[in-house]
Amino acid sequence: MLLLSIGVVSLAATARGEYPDRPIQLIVPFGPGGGTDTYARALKQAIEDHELLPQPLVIVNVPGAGATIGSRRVKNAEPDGYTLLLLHEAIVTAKYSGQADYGSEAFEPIAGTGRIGLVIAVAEKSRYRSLPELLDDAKERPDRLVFAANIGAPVHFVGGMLEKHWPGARFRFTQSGGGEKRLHDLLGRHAAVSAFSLEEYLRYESAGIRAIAYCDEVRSPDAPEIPTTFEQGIPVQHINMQFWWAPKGTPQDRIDVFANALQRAMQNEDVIERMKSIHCEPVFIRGEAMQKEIAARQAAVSAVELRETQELPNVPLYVGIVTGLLGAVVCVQTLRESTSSARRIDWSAYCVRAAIAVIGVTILYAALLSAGIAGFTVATFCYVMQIGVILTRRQAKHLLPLAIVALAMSLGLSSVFTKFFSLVLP
Amino acid sequence: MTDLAAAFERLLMPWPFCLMLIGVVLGVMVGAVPGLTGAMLIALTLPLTYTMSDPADAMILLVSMYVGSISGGLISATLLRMPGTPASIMTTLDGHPMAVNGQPGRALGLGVAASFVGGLISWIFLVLLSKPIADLSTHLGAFDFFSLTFMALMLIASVTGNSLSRGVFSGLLGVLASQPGVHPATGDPRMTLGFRELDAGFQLLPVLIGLFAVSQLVREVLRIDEQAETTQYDSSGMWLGAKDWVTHAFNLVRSSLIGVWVGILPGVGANIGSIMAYSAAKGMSKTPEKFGHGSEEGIIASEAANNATVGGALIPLVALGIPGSVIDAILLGALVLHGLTPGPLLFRDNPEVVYTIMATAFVANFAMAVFMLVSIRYLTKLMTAPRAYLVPVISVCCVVGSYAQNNRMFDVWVMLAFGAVGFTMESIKIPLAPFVIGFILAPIAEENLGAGLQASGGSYLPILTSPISLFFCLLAAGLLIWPIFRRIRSPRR
Repeated sequence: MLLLSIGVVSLAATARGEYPDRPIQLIVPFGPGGGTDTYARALKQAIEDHELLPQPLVIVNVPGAGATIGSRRVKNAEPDGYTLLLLHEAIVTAKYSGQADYGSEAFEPIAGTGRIGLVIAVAEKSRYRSLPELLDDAKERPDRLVFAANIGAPVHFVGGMLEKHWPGARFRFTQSGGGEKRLHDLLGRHAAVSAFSLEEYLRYESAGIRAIAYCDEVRSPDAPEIPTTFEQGIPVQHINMQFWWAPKGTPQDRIDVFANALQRAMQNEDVIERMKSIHCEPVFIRGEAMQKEIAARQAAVSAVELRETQELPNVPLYVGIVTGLLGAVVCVQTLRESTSSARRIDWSAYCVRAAIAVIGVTILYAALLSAGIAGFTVATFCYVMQIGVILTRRQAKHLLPLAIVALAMSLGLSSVFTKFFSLVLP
Repeated sequence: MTDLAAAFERLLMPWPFCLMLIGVVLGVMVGAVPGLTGAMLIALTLPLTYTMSDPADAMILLVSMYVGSISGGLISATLLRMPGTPASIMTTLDGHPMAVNGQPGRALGLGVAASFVGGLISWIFLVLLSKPIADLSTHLGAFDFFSLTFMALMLIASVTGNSLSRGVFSGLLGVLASQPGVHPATGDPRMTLGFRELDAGFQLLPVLIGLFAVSQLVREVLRIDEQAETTQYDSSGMWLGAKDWVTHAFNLVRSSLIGVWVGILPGVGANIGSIMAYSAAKGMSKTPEKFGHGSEEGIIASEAANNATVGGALIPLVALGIPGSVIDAILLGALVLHGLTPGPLLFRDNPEVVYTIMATAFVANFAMAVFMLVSIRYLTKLMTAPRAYLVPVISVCCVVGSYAQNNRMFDVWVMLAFGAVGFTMESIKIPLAPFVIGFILAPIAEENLGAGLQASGGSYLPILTSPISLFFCLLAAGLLIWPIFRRIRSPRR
């Protein structure tokens, strides 16, 4: 009741033209259609359907480099509460695997939502029936059992945590990739063991894999038949949770406004229904509880020391050397040919000057867009006009049709991209 | 079979049929615009399908979009030399020269027909052989994937133009350009020179747009003074005659089979399917010198294969619940959100949904072919549009397309830089095709080599002891030696 009243009060406050008075950008550091992306869109819809925020939430996908391209953008963003990040524990693991030089401490956490555990699984026909059996074998034959992982990602760290609790056990971690690749490796017996989120596991179970442990203290109500790691005497907990982050220095009252909206969204029936369909407990934590949760994850991950995996060939070096040698050969060939049939460029010709002008204007256009000096529509209109004028040799009769084309391009593209695809243009 | 018939019957009812048409048309349009991808369209449509009471309706809409989006790319590739999707990059190589030579209708017609056949052939596999094929594909390990991609890389030697050394040089440059970013097998950043934006490497779409479209734009501007072309651009020849079908039958089937096979493998996308089919077609062609200058066989191989990957990628999805591509992963998510459990049991528990997916894949192919053939007549007019208007419009599309995929300006600069690279390379007669192949394939080969070495503890031996891998290695050796052999045997022109 208290929380609800806080929500109502803050809603009233925002109606007075305070934060947010323009759309909030939510950076999702993965491509469209992935797990985190669909999660974000489900909450966005609940927030907009029930008008939990006075302004829309715009989802911006910035994938790449283990989510660090997107998280770095938020880290460096203006701490005004208009650029936020949605990212699970990869924010912690990226730091300890060396993919990023910052971790969760570089952000202001807003809230944690949803809770879905990790499952340790083997192939259906595998001889391992329990976690101790598997770890015993990993101890007897160290560095032989292949653990299909996504190197440097949370799945890899879980393997490290298991080893830590069973001294002497050593897996051989190999790069596999997303859930379907790890499934492929188990089914084809290319790996002995791997880890999946509960949602992935229940989806893939019938394809021929078997769970031997659920990484939590208590069994999951969705899969009560899977024994926990704690029951088997290996206290490894690994629960995936989506955290919402703001850049460091964002005012607390703005963080609260957003957290309130999220909290209300998580109570929404549609959202609860959707969470259940992906076997995710619809929990919501903020404040103390959230800080404790993040600290616990930080501690668990930092305790694991990832071993260097197998040394791999230095491809860039070899390719670089061969390319350099072949480049020299091609250079000699080209020079020999061009001396016989050299074609001089006529620098005074109109087309050459036009080409240089077009290139220059294009670079200027891109620079204007990236500096954010001119809006997309204005910049594009001017750009199309300018290029058109150059190419038509400033003939007046072309001005009107050009203006129409330019207007159609700038307005048309911006409406297709921003309205229909809800993308953000520079 | 009666279930499949029922699914067809259902699909031909007014509302599902309408959904299918909407899906195909939107898919084709999105496919034709660079920067907008089928994955994006489907991910954004997904929330709209929650309100549909029947999950089968949702699948009809989404699968139709899938079929449409993979086909639409050939329009912009052929007419503007701007690959709408990476999957249509090989179509650019032959479609555009053919369109410039006055046969845009024919080039598009060939592409549509090949897309259609590729879709149908992969559909047959989807319906008849889903289960056994999907089971078989799990036997491929990391080294097998490596050898497969390595073999495809060797195809560079066969797609080069007149000079072998230039082709290989171009391919190596492509490999080199793919190196910055995170290491594909360990995730460590490398060769980023301190630019953190480069942690994700050079993205495929900006590189492709830069190499092909931007360099083409500069060339167009340089030709601005030339008199209006005497060439007639029309849509004639878009309907293939009986003779065409006979000539290209073998190529169509071969390319489609390659596409199906590549589609089934996880993590290997439609663009690789079309690269491999294109190279195979060139290797077996009687007129390999025409490739890259408007070869009909090239268009057919590329388009048949990329559409065949759609059906191919649906095979593991339907049979095992394993998505073969990003779009399939979204389709799988759609099933989950509608309360269905994908996987082998889907066949038993919800056969109507499975058969609806199959029926849609079939009918959407027809809808795609009809819609594209009807619009060709209007699209070919683009070829006659004055350059002063076309150039700024295309370059804005290039900028927006590069930006939109990852929402960052960095990619726009990458695109412009690769435009300069592409222009320079073409000016000194270094072919672009091998560059693209090297750029796309090298990271996949390296990831699987890394994974294989991690699993074997550093031993390279399994590359030769695994029978599948050995087979691909021998094939790769053959592919490398064959063009050299042919070059030596045939007198120099």
